[in-house]
Amino acid sequence: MTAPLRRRSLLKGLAGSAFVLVVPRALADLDTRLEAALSERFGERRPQQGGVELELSRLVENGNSVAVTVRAASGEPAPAALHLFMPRNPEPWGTSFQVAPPALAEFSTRIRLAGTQDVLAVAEWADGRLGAMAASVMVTLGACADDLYLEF
Amino acid sequence: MTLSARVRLPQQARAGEVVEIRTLVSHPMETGFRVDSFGRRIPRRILTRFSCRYADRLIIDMDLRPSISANPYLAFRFIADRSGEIELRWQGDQGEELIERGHLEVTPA
Amino acid sequence: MRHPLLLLWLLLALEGQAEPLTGQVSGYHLLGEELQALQDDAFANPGMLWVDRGQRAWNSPAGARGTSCRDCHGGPERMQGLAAQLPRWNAEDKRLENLEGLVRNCRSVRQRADPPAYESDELLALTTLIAYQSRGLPLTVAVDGPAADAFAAGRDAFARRRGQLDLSCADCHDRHAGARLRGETISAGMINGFPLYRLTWEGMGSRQRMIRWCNEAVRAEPLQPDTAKALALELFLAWRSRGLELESPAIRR
Ligand code: HEC
Ligand code: HEC
Repeated sequence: MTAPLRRRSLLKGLAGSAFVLVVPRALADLDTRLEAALSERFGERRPQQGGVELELSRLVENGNSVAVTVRAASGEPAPAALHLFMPRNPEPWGTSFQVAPPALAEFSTRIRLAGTQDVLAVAEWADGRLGAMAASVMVTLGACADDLYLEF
Repeated sequence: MTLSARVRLPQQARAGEVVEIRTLVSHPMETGFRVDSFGRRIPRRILTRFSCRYADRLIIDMDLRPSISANPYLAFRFIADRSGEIELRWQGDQGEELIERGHLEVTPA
Repeated sequence: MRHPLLLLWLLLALEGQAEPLTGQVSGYHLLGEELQALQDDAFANPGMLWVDRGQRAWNSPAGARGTSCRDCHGGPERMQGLAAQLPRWNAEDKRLENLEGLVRNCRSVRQRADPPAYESDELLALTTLIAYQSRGLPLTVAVDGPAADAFAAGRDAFARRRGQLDLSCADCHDRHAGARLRGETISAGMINGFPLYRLTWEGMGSRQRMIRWCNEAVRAEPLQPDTAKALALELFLAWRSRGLELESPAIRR
């Protein structure tokens, strides 16, 4: 290919540093839009920090398709379910992954993000305990941004 | 596009080995929040559930919502502990259903 | 009028020519690492769903005679090289023909079945399957001899300002290639990835769909996919992309 090498490596470098670099957020300043979704799923229960790992790009090129991996933190007993929430999407509850042995509490998928937000992963154990990790994701081109950009 | 899947299933493993299943399925995952070029709302149409049975046990049961991307991708892993059938099932809110099956042969470690 | 004003505002927000793109640069190089990995993933690349479907369609009997593509052509690998050389001049009909046109034509004339609509998943499945056979091959189109006039028309169409916004293809993909347009980098407008999966579309599109999308963006008269004008523009774009490896099904934002 005839791509100028300098540019290619520059872009790669930038992208490389953004990939899998997640900024965990304190659960204390979680998006208020989550309240309803959490109540619906968990009633009065609220998660403690930890017990689950969330892996996604810090900087996302197009919110229509964002790679994400959720897994139980090592050293924890296996949770019965893993949940994903996107507080700034029209429907904040993204997915719930009920898992039983011999499956591992871990999955990778691709999600939509309507804009920059703190994605939340929650692990749920059989005894009702909840653990969580939140990650800030910057979206340059959000899902559903059609009339803003896609059709000019 | 009609519902169809690409799946990568393990066929052989040693007992205790961790194996991976990868899936990609054709579906628009229409959110119900979008409008077409005439300003009409495009009706919601999503896959709502994915499940995996392995050797007669339900090992994965997953709820899918509009925040899952179009043409959903899913990968997960499990420990191969005995020979048996693997059954993957997707269900949609229009009553559609897709089932993919395979057999995993597990040999002693 | 909301859209044009918005675009003008976007153009004013161009963040300068940080590092201009010159020559043939595949849109692949403007993707981040994650999307490049998606394109390179032979399993998870969503465009492969269309390749799979194309494979099934290739083998399925259809039409008045109940023949399949395979019955007459053998395996799809026999189509290797074809997509990298299109569009090309058809001396008999005295017009350019592209991949979509060839498939639709064969489907109606030889297979005697209804030709699938432009941009239908049915057509995209077959064209993506055929283009996939040429993955990695360099784009080379003939622009001399009988194709010379069409080529000149395509070159002219690329440079001519059009639409309410009075912008030409060259304004964006030549003069502003490499510039940032609100978080997006304008590419050099290469067509080596088509048919490709655009995340914006959440689906596949042909070269002509992309041309139409850009054309609409500047509020110009619509370009019908099988007209001499649209095919001439496609020929010029293929020549601009000459030497680049065919990437179909590519991933773009
Ligand atoms: C009844 C036989 C027959 C069937 C069925 C048929 N074709 Fe063809 N096709 C031909 C012949 C003959 C040609 C012209 C000679 C050639 O180029 O191979 C042709 C040409 C083509 C070409 C141009 C090839 C080139 O190199 O110029 C394409 C593309 C094509 N067919 C695609 C298809 C597809 C896709 C299908 C199935 C949907 C199909 N054909 C079904 C007989 C057939
Ligand atoms: C207002 C600026 C603008 C104008 C004018 C414009 N385009 Fe585009 N074009 C874009 C953007 C934005 C994209 C999507 C991102 C990218 O690839 O640059 C794009 C993408 C493309 C692509 C796909 C590139 C790839 O890597 O897949 C092609 C081909 C293309 N344009 C052709 C054209 C043609 C032909 C015209 C004239 C009819 C045109 N464009 C006019 C902005 C423009």
